[in-house]
This record gives sequence, C-alpha cells and structure tokens, in this order.
Amino acid sequence: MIKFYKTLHWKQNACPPDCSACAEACAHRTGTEPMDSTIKMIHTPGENFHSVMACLQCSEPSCQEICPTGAIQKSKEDGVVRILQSKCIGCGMCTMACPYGGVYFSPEKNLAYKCDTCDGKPKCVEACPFHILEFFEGDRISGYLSEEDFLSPGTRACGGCPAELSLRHTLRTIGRGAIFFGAPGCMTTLMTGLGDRAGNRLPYFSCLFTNVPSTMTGVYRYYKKIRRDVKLVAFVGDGCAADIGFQALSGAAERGENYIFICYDNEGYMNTGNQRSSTTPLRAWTNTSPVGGECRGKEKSNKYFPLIMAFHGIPYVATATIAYLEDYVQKLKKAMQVKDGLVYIHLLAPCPTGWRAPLDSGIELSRLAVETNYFPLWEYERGRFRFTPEISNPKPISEYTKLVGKFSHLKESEIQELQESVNDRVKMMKSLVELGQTH
Amino acid sequence: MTKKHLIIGCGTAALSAAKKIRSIAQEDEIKLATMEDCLPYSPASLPYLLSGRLKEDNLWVANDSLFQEWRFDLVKGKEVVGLKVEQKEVIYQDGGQERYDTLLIASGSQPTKPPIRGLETTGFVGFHTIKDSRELSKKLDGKKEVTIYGGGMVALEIATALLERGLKVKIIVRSRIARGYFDEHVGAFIEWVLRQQGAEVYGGNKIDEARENKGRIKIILSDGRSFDTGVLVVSAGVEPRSSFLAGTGILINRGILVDKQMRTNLSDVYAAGDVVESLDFFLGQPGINAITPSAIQQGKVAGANMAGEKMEDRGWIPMNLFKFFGHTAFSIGLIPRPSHQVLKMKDDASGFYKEFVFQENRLVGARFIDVDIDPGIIRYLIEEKVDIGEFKEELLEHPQEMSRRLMLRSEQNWS
Repeated sequence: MIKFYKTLHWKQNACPPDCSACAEACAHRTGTEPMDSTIKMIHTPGENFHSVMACLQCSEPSCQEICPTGAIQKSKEDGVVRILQSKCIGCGMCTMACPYGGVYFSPEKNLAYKCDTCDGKPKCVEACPFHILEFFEGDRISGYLSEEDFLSPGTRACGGCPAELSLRHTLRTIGRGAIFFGAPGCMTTLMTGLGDRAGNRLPYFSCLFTNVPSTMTGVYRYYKKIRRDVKLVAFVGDGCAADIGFQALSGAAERGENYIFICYDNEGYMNTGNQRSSTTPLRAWTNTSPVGGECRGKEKSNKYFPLIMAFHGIPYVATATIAYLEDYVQKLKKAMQVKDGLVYIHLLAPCPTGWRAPLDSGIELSRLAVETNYFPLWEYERGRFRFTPEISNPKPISEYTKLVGKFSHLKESEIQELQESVNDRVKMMKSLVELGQTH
Repeated sequence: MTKKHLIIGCGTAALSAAKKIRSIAQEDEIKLATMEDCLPYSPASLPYLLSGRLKEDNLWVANDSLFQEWRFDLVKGKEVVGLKVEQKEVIYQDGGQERYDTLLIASGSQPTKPPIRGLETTGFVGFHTIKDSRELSKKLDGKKEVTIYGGGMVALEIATALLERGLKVKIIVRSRIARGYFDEHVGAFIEWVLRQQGAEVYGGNKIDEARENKGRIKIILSDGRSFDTGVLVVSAGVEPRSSFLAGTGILINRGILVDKQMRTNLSDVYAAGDVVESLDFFLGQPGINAITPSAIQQGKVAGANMAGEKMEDRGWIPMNLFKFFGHTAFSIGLIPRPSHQVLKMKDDASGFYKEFVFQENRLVGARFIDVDIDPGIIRYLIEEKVDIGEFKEELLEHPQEMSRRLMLRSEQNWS
C-alpha cells in the first residue's frame, strides 16, 4: 500500500502583498532567537503576483541524491526531508540540485537549511491569517476513493488503456449503491465479459447503442415509484453518446431525468477497429477517413459534444480526463449531489492502440491535450461556465500531435489548421466563461 | 527472469545507477565492485577533511546496513583489469572472473600527471581518494607553506581549505584561476579573494622542475623564478580512468563514448559518470563534464536502461558552485557568443556580479558572484527551456524573485 504523508499546501498567488506572517513565524520556529526563514515569499509587483514557496518534501529528493556526505535524509516515519546539521559541510550542492528552491543557504552560518514542517506542527500554518497555507496528507484523492476496487486487477482492455483507468476510478468514486449502464464498446467487454471473464463487481445493465438513456429512464422511474434512492450511471463511448444514441440522450436531458451520463471519448469506434465518429478530430487518420492520394484524414472538424449537452440547459456538465484525476473525482462528487436533472461528463480517453501511439503514452497524451488547449477542462453549473483551470501558456498543438500516429501524416499547414480550430474553440469557451462572470 | 547487473565503481554515478535499477527491478542481482577498500564517499567532500570541517567518521555516504536494505552486493578492494566481451565477463586483478548480464563502467577519473622533472620523488600528485587525503594530511604535519600546482576546482578547494587552516599557500596556474569553470571576470574575483586571504598566485606559469633541497622542495618555474616550499601538491585536472579497457574494442575518444541511453558500442555495456564522453545539452556534441550533477543523472539513465526501461539523458550542462571565505560563485551553461543576448550588472565596490545569457527567449547561461539566487531554479529555467519572454530585464533586476516566479509559472502552466 502506498503511504501518504502530510505536507504543506498553499493556494498560489493568493497572498496579500504586504503579509509576511508565515515567514516571521518560521523565523521564530524554535522559540529562541530568530533564524532565517525556510518558507519564502515571492512578490513580483509588476505582475501582481504574491505568493509563498517552501520545500515540497519530494518522494525522491534531488538534494538527498547530491549531498556528498549523506547529511540529507528522507524520513520513512513522516516523509520529511531533513538536513543533519552536524554532517553538513556547507558545500551548497543541494541548492544547485533542487529545482524548486526548497533549500536555503545561510552564508553567516555556512550551512544549508530547509523546512522540516516543525516536525508535524508547522508554525507558518498556525500563523497564516488567511488559511492560505494548509498542512494535510499529500494526496487527497486517497480519501475520496473507496478502499475496494470494483474492477478486477486484470481486464480485457489493451495495455495502457486510459478508458479502463477512468472506468476503474469512476467505480471507486461512486462505489456501491449504484447501477451502471453501457452499450457495446470497449468498456462493456470489461463490465460484462464476452460470455465469460466479466471484470466488474457492481450491478451492470448492458443496453443497445440507441437506448441507453431510455433504459435508464425506465429503471429510474421504477425506483422512484418504490421510493428508493439509487444512483444510475451510464459509462459509454462517443459513438453511443454523440452519434447513434444521441436522440435518446437529448430527450432524457430535455425531460430532466436524474442520472449521470459519462462519455469516454476515444474519438472513434475503436472497439470495432477504428472507424471515424462525429468526435474524431480534423485530419485524423482512421480506417474510414484514410490517408493516401487525395485523402488527408478526416475532412471535418469534430462536433464539440460537451457544449451541445450544456446547451440543453441541464444542471451540470463537465469535461475531464484521467491525467487530472483529482479534478475528475471532484466533478463526479459534484455530479452525485445533483437531484434535479441530467448530469453529463465528457472524458477524453486517448486510445494508444487505435491512435497508433506508444502504449505507455495514455496519461501523457491526456495531460498534453489539456496543456495544449486541445481539450480544455471546464464545468457548466446552473448556466455558468468555468475553466478548471484556464491554461495561460498553452503549448503548441504540435507537442500533442507529434506523439500520435493518427496525426503523423500532418503537414505544417495542416497542423496550423488544427491549431486554428483549437484556438477558435478556446476563444469561444472563454467568451462563454466571461459571459457567466458578468451575469 | 532476473538479471545480474555488475557495476565497476562505487562512486556517485555507480550508486545512482544501482538505486535506479533497484527501483525498477526488485529481484535482480546488483553487484558493485570497487578498487578501494572502504565504504563509498564523494570526492567532492575530501577538501573539507583537510580544512577540518568534516571528520572522517562523517565522510561515508552509505554504510553496510544501507547496502543491506538496498540489497546491493558491495565488493571492496577488487580492481577490474580487463573485459571478455564475448563471454560477458570481467577480469579482476587477482585473476578471478565474473559474469554479468549488464555491465556499467563507472570507474571515474584519475589525476593527470603533468611533465615536471623530479616530480616522482618530491611531489604529491592528485587529491582524489581518501588515501590521498590521509597521505597529504600526514605530509602537511608541521609544515607551514604549501605550493599548489593547478587552478581547477579541486586545486581551489584545497587552497581554500589550507588557507582556512592558516598555512601559507602559493598557487601556480598554467593560464588563470578557474579557467574552464568560470569566465574571466569571476576567475579574477576568486583570485582577488584568495590574494586577500594571503595566497600568492603565479598565473601563466608552469613548474619545470621540483627537487629535494635540505628537507625542503625547490620549485623552478618556466619563467625562471624559483623558491623553496614545504609541500608540493599537484592537482592539474583529471582524466577518465579507462586504460583497463584497452583491447576490448570499446570506443574511447578522451572518455568512453556513449549514446543518449548511456550505451557504449559493446552490447549490454553501459558507462556513466566521470569516465564518459557523452552528449551535451545545448548542441548534442560529445564531451566530458566530470561533475556530480552529471554523474547522478547519467547513473540514473544507465540504471533505467540496464533494468529494461527506456530512458534518455537530456545532455550535460556545465555548472559549478564555489563557496569560499563567505563568498559564493555560481556559473552555469554557455559562455556568451556573438549570437547571444547578454544582460549583466556588477558592482566593483561590493563585488557582486550577475550575468544572464539568452538565446532568443531562452536562458542558456548565467554567472553570479554573491547574488541571492536559488542556483537550482536557474538550472531549472535552462533545463526546462522556460520562455523568459518579456521578463529578461526583470530577471536581471530581481533575479531571485523573478526566477522563482518563472519556475512556478512553468511548473503549473497557469497563473
């Protein structure tokens, strides 16, 4: 079992410009004479940026690796990286190793210092008047998920499948007391098996492409009639949600049925051998949008399906992807609170097998998709759009496309074309977000 | 199937590789063979033994119980003298042989011997091992003056340590102080501080001859001057320790040539640390960069690939941090070329100096004397190719705050 330790956390750029309460408390941490503070203030007034930084207590600390006398050690008890002052020779190599400025060198004492979390009772956290600094267990996500994993450890999914990871964490977040629904697709083969080898331990209803929402409506009405509160959750691909099953979904949204509809978008009919769908992006190669001769992959841009769902005016819509797991889990938790209508969550689930990308690139792709603004993360709650969060320095789309085989034929001009469509979409989302702010 | 990884050496690169292998392959056998008969230590900390700031008990970076925890097999006092490539075996000096599945050559470097007449009987060459340190300490006993030949980092650290001990120090350098580590301005400042502390520096000079003279040593310089001294320490740089590989077919230029995965031209033979000539960060050209950060990184890359995980080195960046008499000099990256944009600021009264070298919007080099910065963050900005954009002037004006800000922005990718 992975062990999680308590570490310092703070909200970036949330400090008032003139506050130094944490640094003062840190300087007096021993209660005797003031020392140099190991929590550092950053003020760049030109940009109106005011924040703090301190050691992150890395799991593989580079300061520890470089220390020539082994004076820096990470404790197995509390995870804190400490400098044993009696072994420190003041060479300063640790300050050169740490990329995050976590080690402080005192020229007066000729020794290196760093945050030791005041052995579990950080004075800076106590002193922060705005509760910007917090001290809690590294990974909050472990608290959200059930201990039990409802999907078997081995499944029929391809190696490195992000959709499988998404499904696994969806089941762990929602847990017992829910019924799941699906249609023919990759994840159905995990949930029901193909005659045998089902990998799932929760109730599951396998529907047809066209009737997932209508089946759920029937089940929902039945439980409503017998007055039992049961969560219903659909986990289907883009072919079902955006193409073949759209009519039933749109109807359910309009009628205000109360269940969660999750679409894992792998941008095509991947389970049947990679045919194009309406969410396949511009210029992407698939078996039905080939490359060769006159053909340059898909001619049309993908339809922006989460926005179409938002425009139904349902209570909650969100985009998410597995590289930002905490963000996804929080959105799911929010979705589970909704009692008055349909919830739609659109997951980007890169398909390394079908997209011709390295098998271990799934997480990297889903992160790059966000960092390039190819797949912006946002949520729509009661009429307002909000980025979660907005990317201020997007990477060029070529960073993303160069990893994906289905884009490997792209010429410079075609990458530019794709970049422009990404820019346009983000611009549209921005104006929607701003609209909500001025509301 | 488990593999047997054999590592020649037990220095920084060797340990870094061994730990990486263990983190990937829990069951594999990992054996480190070192020619020294002691626990591992970092040569970087040896000068601190001389100054007395470090006691020998605290020198060791790992002890036997740590080796047990890591499940590394440490063989001390075994020197590898040859390699049977076909059979995948190494040959030890005692005639023994050992098979490997993958081999890492991390045999480090050895001091170079400059051509000085009479050096064999009078001089003390190199300061590279714990044995050297012990011997030199013995030699220094009761002596008041020392002459150091060399102006590299090790020579400077010895000089600093001996000055701290109150000895009279003469430094003879072929060109100037710290050439190859710091640029002229920083080098001149270091020299000035050393002179302030009582050192005599003879730049642009060589030692032609050193001979015994009534219990003292007579030094004759290339410019004709001569003087007597108590002890002569020669620290004229290091070279890769790779002569034992002659005849194996391994490609060696100045160091062992490796690719981005730290592979040599021999199959399943890797090399890392001071012994290699690997590709640099900026131009991808082979070269030697015998510093600790490179050894750690190269060890990690070699270890990952030996354990079957593909990992590539991003290339070495020259960097040096030197702390002396309350001053700090830090130099990293490229020396300015005509195509670069250079921003610098200095104050001769207090001595501070800062210099940033930009290639378009990227930082590619920087040099500082006595400026409050986090060297690791400057390194981050270079390694991560952070777009400095409109903040160049601001970075010069407020290097610490602005570099921290740029690092945070790049790390989070949103404001």
